[in-house]
Amino acid sequence: MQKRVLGILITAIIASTLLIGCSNEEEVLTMGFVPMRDGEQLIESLEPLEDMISEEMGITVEAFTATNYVGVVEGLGSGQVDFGFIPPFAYVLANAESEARVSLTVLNASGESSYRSQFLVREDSDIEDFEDLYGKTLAFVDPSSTSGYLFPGAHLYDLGIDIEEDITYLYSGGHDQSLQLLLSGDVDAAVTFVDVRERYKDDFPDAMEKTRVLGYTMDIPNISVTISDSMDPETEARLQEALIKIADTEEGAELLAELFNIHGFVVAQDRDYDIIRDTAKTMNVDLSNQ
Amino acid sequence: MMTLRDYIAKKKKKNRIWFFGILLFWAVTAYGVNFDLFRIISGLPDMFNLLGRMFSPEFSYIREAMPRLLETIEMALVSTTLGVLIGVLIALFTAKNTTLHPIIPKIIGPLLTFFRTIPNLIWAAILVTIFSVGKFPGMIALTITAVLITVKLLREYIETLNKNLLNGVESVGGSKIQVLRFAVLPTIFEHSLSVYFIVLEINIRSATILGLVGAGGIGQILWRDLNHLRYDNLATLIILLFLTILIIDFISVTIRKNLKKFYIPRTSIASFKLQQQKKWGGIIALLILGFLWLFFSLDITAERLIVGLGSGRDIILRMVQIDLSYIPRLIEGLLESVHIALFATITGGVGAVVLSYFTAYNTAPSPIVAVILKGVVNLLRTFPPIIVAIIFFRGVGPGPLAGAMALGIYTLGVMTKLYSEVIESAGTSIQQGIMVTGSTKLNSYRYGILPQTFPNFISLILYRLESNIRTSTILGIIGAGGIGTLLSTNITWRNWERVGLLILGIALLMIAIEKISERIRKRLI
Repeated sequence: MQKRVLGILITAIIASTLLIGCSNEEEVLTMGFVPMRDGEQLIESLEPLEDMISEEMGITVEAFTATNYVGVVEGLGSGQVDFGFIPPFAYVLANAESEARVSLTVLNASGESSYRSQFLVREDSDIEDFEDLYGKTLAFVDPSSTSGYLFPGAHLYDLGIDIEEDITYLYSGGHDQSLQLLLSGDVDAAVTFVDVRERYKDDFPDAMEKTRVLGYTMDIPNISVTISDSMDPETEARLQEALIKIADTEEGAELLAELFNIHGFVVAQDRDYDIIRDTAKTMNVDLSNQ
Repeated sequence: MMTLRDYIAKKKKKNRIWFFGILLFWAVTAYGVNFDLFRIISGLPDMFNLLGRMFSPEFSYIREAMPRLLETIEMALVSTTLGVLIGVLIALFTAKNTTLHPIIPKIIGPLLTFFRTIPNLIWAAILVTIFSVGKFPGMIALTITAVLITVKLLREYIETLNKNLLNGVESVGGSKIQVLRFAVLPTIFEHSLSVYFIVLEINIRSATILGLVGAGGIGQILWRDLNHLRYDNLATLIILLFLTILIIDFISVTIRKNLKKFYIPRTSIASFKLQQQKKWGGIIALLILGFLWLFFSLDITAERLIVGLGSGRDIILRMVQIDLSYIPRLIEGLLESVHIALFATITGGVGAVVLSYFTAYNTAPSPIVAVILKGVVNLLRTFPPIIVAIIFFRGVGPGPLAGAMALGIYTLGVMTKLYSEVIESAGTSIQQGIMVTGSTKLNSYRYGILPQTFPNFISLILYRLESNIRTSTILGIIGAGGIGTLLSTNITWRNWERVGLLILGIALLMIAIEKISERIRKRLI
């Protein structure tokens, strides 16, 4: 008797555990958010944005943050993630891998759909021109960074500087670390977003006086809203509309600006990102066999 | 008087309660990580697709990877040699039965435990700030962890030493130092050697992770290939790591085997003394060599060091001012990490009990099955959990479920390897004793070997639980949830006050788990 009761209980537990996921039949959109490192503050909770999109679209949206884009790109590829806010280079990778498509590009504080990164040197440095970089040491951020590696690297190639031959470089691991390496004299020049000195002024109060900008890269497309191939066009249109609408409301604009440094959206075309592909090619990143 | 029938009934009831309890516990953790079997099954094709891409390794890539691998091996060798030697010394002076003064273990013990809970990656992140990027901060970070692991493993071993051994030397008038030198040190020498190889393997694995923060070695290109989704190159790197660890394993076994055969030719006292002098000379030379090597990897000026120490101090000063308003997020993160680690440990552990039966030579249905499974288990063990997590990201989307499954698979691999070795060493007498009554091989496992070796199993799985919590913090970096996600984002944003609180939280959790598992272990053995 007891055995039977126990058996039933055990079966019940296993069954209920296995069936947890099946109970919610309603449609849920999963959103992945990969913040750009130049964000003003750490995004702790995506709930307000979740609620706004859910309300606007009439579909429940579940959002999560990831510090690295690989997981989100893979999720977009298999349809486990429906849409994501991902860096431009991550979009190009996702598109090459799985036909994920870009829907919107984010506008920054100056209302532009692109940004640049800067080459910094110390104020007292003898580097006056990019020509002077020959034989010097340069800090990149990390090989996955669009603004901290791909674009500045390609910029140097375009100027005739072969980063493998003509300069010594290292990866610092972060834009703040690059600034730190420059200030402590480990490197002669550093590549960062504009403007890392403002963003980390509490950590490096003297950065503004002690460093100067050597030059800027070309325009880099902003963070993208990328849609998984598995999302149907109708839902995509609704999402596009919802996001643009949210950015237009006072409340929504405030939230987007404060939390994500997003000041609006503009409909994006895949060709806007060709520049990333060209850059990746210059930098020897193989996008073909994916 | 209890009759046999009562005894059996009681035992059965007890077993059933245990079984039921663990199942319930598993269900809770499964709920905690959003376990969903259907989601996993429907994600399988996507996962195999990704795995398939990994199975086309790019062998021409080896030429580029080789120098990096050598750099990693160099980092691991230098830091392990230094760390284990320093660790042996600290262990001698802090073990409860051999310490110079009983107050020393009471002060240093908790301190070391606290430091041990700080993830490797955090050490490296701070050290990179102080010493700039490159091999050197990586080596220091690995040395620190090597010291801490050595102290833990050796101290526990020293504390189990027979009191008579120590009293023997003390009774002939030996001082405390002489007890250490002539009684303890020779006894633990062989064990230290196996600790050395354990730490070496851990350090080679950790060195791959340190690449994340710019600490040199193979980790740097592994991280780049991961971010460029170059799974073919990634596979090449994993194969290289697998072979490296296999070779280390082989060297370790060979050395330990030959050590037992190695006797000192004691023809005279003079020759014995010469032998001893040689041995000690060698150890001291190794220590000096290690320090010199470390010193020459450091290519920065004194000025730079002062600047670095200054900013390192600033970071630590800010970390000490922990941000208490962040506690709710801390608890949320810790809870998720505990769920991930517990789910992985239980799932992997239960799986290992079953899989070990087919993997150990003495219980497997046929030797061929055992050999094949041993290969599979080694493969599961070598795949870095971070890569497995990404495979699951593709199948079930990023989140705690992917992290828990990745850790579970890793746990299954490690536990099966360790536990099948325990079964193999359990001897055949128990097995044959039961089989002689006409029972099957399976029953001899179930009623003979399993109860006999169960305490070992529990002891192994508790260590696994501790290390799973630590690994789950690393998985958080790539988005597998838990405390690691909070930790990595806050480091990126230089919120040191929050980083301080998170480290403290992780430390308290780890110490609590360690205390609980110590208690369980004591009761079992």
